Amino acid sequence: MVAVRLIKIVLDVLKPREIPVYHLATSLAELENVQLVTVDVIEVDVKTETVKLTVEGTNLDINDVLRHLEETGCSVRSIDSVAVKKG
Amino acid sequence: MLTRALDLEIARRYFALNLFDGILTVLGFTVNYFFLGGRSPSVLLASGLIISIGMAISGLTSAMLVEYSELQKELNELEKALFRDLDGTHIAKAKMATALMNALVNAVAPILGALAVLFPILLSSIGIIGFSQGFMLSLLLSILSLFLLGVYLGKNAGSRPIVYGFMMVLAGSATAIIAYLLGAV
Repeated sequence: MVAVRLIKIVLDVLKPREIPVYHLATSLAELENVQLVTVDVIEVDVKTETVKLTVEGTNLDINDVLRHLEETGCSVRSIDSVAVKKG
Repeated sequence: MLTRALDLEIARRYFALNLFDGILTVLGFTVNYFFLGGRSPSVLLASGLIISIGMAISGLTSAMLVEYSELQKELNELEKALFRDLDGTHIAKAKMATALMNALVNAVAPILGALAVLFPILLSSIGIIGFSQGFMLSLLLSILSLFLLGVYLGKNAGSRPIVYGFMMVLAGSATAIIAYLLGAV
């Protein structure tokens, strides 16, 4: 059976404004197998920000990413896109 | 630290307020004690320390309650905005750490202020200088501490540090004059 690796996830995330996007991106980049993290701010509210979070890597563990966001204090609203690679 | 919740803004405010309180309270007591005829540096030192410890305990407990209440309010509002529970998250821990730090600063600042006033009295109580010299030095250190605190606040505000310094000194002088009048009459 040929291995399938998750290489990209795009998430719709609601985060507290007190967590700077830079800190969120760098802390996610420290996870295993993560090579690139992009955070785009979509909407700014009084206490929260809606961001499009793109995580790319060689062999991502989606549970690691979701757990990290959970521990940080973010709400994952949806998984909008994934990319996997065969082999 | 992942969040910027652990900021120093409130702690800085508490520090300045309570340092000011500590200096003024013990300065007033010192001046009043001197002009009432008290000449025992050890009595003045012990009483000044007890006053500052009382202020520290009061500062710690009041700030803990106020900060914890504010923390809970902020977290509740954030939980509503995020549609989730935040117990155990980094942001909740950072807010708790900030509340604790603020309470500690609130407790330590009046003691530091009091120590600035009482240091010459300590020198007097161990016989390095006389009581009158200790008293004069204590007044000078109080005025200097108040002036420096004012300068710091002025620099922090980005305007007229010398004016801030003199306003602090004015408050200290008013306290000392009232304490003198209460002791002299």
